Amino acid sequence: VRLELALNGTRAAVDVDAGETLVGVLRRLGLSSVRETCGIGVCGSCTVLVDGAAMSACLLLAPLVDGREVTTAEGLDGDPVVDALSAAHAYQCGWCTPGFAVAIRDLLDRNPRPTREESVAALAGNLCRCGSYLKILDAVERAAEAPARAPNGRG
Amino acid sequence: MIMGLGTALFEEVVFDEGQPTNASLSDYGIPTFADLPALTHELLEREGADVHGLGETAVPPVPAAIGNALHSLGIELTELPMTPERVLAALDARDGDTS
Repeated sequence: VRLELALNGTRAAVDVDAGETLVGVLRRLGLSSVRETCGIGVCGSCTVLVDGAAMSACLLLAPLVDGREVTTAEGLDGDPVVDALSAAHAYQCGWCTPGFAVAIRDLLDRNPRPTREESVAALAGNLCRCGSYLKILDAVERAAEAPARAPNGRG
Repeated sequence: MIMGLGTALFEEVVFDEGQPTNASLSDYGIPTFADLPALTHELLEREGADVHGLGETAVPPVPAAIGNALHSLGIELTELPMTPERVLAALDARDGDTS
């Protein structure tokens, strides 16, 4: 199946198997921030934005994103969320971090000033084995306080 | 410390005839945002001390601390994780409930 999509702001076309999940396709394209970890949609490591909404790429059949906009953590380069995660040291091993970056971007797009409770509820679908949750909440706060980012063409 | 919370309260591989029965992240629960306690920590620096790693060194004391807290209530638990079921059973044992 020929798949055409807007990938991190750039038009991309790729041939995929009809039964292939999006996480495999993205990794094949070199976007290694997207990580299949549990493979059943409970850990959040493969979170991507599809038309701006956070989704688990391990549960999404690749052909379903034809014509859509897909953003991975690579596409968040320069985003205050990424800077905030770094500044807050919001990771230990870093495996879950790209998924959190994408999930936090989704949260702040919907709710620019989340309360702690709202952040906890929104991010409960992302697991961090190292337990960096407190620092990740710091990062959400920092990102929410950061000046608005420059538009990157993502709708 | 949050990783230690998992060891203390949640995490256990369950076997049935040699096969793990909870070998996925939906059956084997690690701490999530929903389990986050109010938590503070302090780093104690000692001048001239050797350089040590941080991170997992904070894990082992957590089950011990929670176990000691239970011990102070007369609840004796020496098995991890300290699940609600095990705490209840230990409470019954403390109170001599044989029902």
